[in-house]
This record gives sequence, C-alpha cells and structure tokens, in this order.
Amino acid sequence: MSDFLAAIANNQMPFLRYALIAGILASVTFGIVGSYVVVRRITYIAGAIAHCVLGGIGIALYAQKVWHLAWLDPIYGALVAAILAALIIGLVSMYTKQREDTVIGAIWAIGMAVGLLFIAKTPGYIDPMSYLFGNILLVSKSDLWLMILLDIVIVTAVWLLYHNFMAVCFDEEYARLRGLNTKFYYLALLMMIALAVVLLVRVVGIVMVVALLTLPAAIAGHFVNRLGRMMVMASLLCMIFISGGLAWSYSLDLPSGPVIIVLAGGAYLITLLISRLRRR
Amino acid sequence: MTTAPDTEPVIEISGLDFSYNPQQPILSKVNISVAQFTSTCIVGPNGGGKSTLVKLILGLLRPDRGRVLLLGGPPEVTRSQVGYVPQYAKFDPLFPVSALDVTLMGRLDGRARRYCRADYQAAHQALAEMDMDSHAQSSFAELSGGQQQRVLIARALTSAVKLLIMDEPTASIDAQVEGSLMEILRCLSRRMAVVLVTHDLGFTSKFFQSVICVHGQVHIHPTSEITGKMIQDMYGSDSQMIRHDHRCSTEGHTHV
Repeated sequence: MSDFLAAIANNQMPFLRYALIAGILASVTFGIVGSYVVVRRITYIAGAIAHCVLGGIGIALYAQKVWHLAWLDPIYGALVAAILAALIIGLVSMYTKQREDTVIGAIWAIGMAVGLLFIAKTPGYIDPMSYLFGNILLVSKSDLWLMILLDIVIVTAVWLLYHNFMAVCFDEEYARLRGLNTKFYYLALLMMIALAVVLLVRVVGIVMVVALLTLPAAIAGHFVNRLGRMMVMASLLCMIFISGGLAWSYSLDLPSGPVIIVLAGGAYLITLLISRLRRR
Repeated sequence: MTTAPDTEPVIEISGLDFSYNPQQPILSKVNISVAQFTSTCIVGPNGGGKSTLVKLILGLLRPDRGRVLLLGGPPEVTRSQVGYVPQYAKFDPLFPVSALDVTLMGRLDGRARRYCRADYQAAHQALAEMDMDSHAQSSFAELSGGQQQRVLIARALTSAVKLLIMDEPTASIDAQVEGSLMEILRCLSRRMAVVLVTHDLGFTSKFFQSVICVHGQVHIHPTSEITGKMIQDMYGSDSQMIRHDHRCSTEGHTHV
C-alpha cells in the first residue's frame, strides 16, 4: 500500500495519479447512472452501448493515421459511437416490432466488429486489448477535464430531474399521465449511460465497464431502500473499488481493470451471500 | 385547462372503434357516458378489452374512429386532473422508494423541478386520508398488498379532482382488504366519480350504480339488470351469478 502511495506522489509516474483521479471523478457519475440502470433493469442495454464504443475508437484511430486527423482522439470517437448507439437502441426499443433483445444483440456485435475492422486496417500496431480490457497508461490529463465537465453535466441534470427520472423508472405509464415526456427521459437516461461508459473505458475497458456501472449500485441496493441513498453509496463503493483495485494491481504488478472488477464482483457475491444468510 | 361544468359527464365516448391490428378489432361501436358522482364498474373476461378501454379513456391509446372526452376535454389535456390507480402487483418489488416518494409522484407536472412544500403537504394529507401517513417513510416494497394499494390511491388523490379510475384493484387481495377497499371507495364516491375495472364479477356489488360490460362490444347496464344469460354471453361458460339491486341507468342493452 505504501509503495502505491509513493507511486501516486511520484512525478515520474503521472499516469497512476491520473488513473486514480479519473476513477474518483468517474465514480460520481457511475454511482448515479448505475443506480438508474439497476432499478430500471437495463444492464444489457448498457452492455450494448459499451461494446459499440469500440466502433468509434476504431474509426478514430484509423482517421488519425490514414486521414491525418491528429486531433481526433479515440475518446471523441468513443463518445460519438456511444451516443449514436444509445440513440439507435433507444429508438429501436421504443418503436420496433422486432424482438428488442435480438436487435440490441446485433447492435452490440456490429459495433465491436466495425471497431476491430478499422483497427486491423490502421497502419502500425494497435493492441485492441488495451481498449477491451483497459489500460491506465491511456489516461491523459486532458481526459480529466473532460470527466469533470461530464460530472458537472450529469450531476446538475439528475439534481434537477431526480423526481422525474425516478417516476419514469418506477412507473412509466403513470409518469406519462402526469405529463412527463417519458421517451425523452428514457433517451436521456441512455445518453447518460453512454457518457458514463466513455469516462471509464480507458481504466477498466469496454468489456468490463458495465460491471463497474452496475455492481456498486446492486450492492447498495441490499443496504438502502431509497434511490438517492443508493446513488451516494454506489458512488462511494465505486471509488473504493477503483482506488483499491489500482493499489492492489500496482503492488502485485497485475493489469488494473481486471483487479478492479474482481474486487467489485467479489464484494457483490459476498453481499448476496450475507443477505441470503440474514433472510434465514 | 378545460374543466367540465358540473352537469357534464366525466367520461363520454361516442362511436369508438379500436384495434391493435385491422384483422382483430378489440372494441367496436363503443358509446359510454359516466356522470359526475357516480360509481361505475367495468367488467369483462381477461383479454376482452377492459385495459384497452381504460388506456383509451386516459389517452394512452388513440381510437381508430370515434371520440373520447375526459372531463369535457381531450384526454391528453385533462388526464392530469384524473386520479389513476394501476394494479399494484406490477411494480418491481426491489425498487428503492418510500411510500411518500410514490405518493409525491402524483404531484409531478412535467416540469423540471424539485418538490416544494405544497407538494409534501398534499402528499401527507392524501396519505393521512388513506390512513397511511404513519408509513410515509416505509419502503414501498415492504408494505403489504393492501397497504401498497392505499398508497397508490393516495398518489391518485393528490391529483384527482372529479374522477378516480382503478385498474383491477381486487386482483390478489384477500376478503378483508377487499372489504376495506369498498369502504374507501364508498367514501371517495361522495366527492368524485369512481370507475373500477375488474374481471372479478363478485366485486360488482350493489355499491356500483352501473356496470359496463366489455367483450369486444361494450354495454352499459343498470346493476339490477345483470342476468345469468348476460354473464354467460360474456364469459362463455357457467359463472357464479350475482344479483344487484340498485339504481338503474336509462341505457338499454342487447347482446349479440
């Protein structure tokens, strides 16, 4: 632990500090958005959005190299892809007469496939593993500013619309009768998922980011019975998992993403076990 | 907001046809009028179109033909003044909300805002009327079925002025809860029209002044005219027969 703290303080290794700050900043958004995902039961939609992000990353990497668009950082590609995926999935689930889960599964796979194809055609070696499973070396200082901005946007929106979002998640039909534009709120929720996913893709990776979105909220759900408290507790848990996971992975020289997820997943399983035993 | 003068019906449906797809009409040629301060029961077998009728009344669905007037205006405009109580069983038992949170939802108006003091007062008042204010901070999921239902009625009352619509309130509640529900409805019907949807003919007690039978066709009966023949027509087999003796409406009736 002490070597981790020393590394955080070490100016030779700013990436570790950036990853930690990124994790703590993102935890705020993750606790809030993750709580909505859990109570609204749309984990699989969050999964599809997260995986589509690879499509945007792939296209951005390709554009950087082949079209010489040096400013086009992969995170912007990720952002656009996530928002597009959220919009398409939202509209599909609202209007389609097809089986919704099949369509979402298709979008999930197509997003990844497009990303891998563009990465394959991009000159030079790019390891897709970094994007799939996270690589804290990819976190830059400018990402932190983006995270602060997204945190402010999401916290403000949710503070203002907290009751409306809750009503839409709890009883969509009734919310509509009360004059709420439920389609708008549903799309806004998917947008927030998209933004949250992009925030932490570099730290934990596309494949595992959804676990970090939902596990803290799911754990909190066992201890509190108010949505607001669930959000606060989920945010704190998320901070603990990320900082604990980073410290642990640094000490043991392991990749940070999987360690963070194993920590969160383990805590979730223990919580399930405890609540099972308590109910007896 | 349009509000009906006191003599106007709270619900008026004329010449309404509705289908989800053209091959299978759900409702055809529906004409219904529900007057102020009356109590009406909508009955019919499952899948007969009761819920569809309620969605049409609330403007959640649009009729293929015909017109729906709710409190004298189009439902999309006036429904915010109607109290609606959905089936409590449809809620996620793990959803983290308190009884007060649920009740406050009746005060939402589509604007982006936090609740104000008046909202909390209205919610507590409605909970108190349903004898549930001591449970305001209880988790909604931990309440019994009957208690959840009373919270949902309280939520409806925070916005209901002239009309309360309840969907299948008798589904999966025991006889005692059903008795107290009747008592609540009796109280409420003194100050507003009450419309109740049920597949449970046993609930069509003499409390209701008229019965609307929904099975593709829609017929209004004075409660006293319900016969075993009609029930058989509607439900297709022998059903337990109930007799009602109460005020009659002037609407006639034929079953096809």
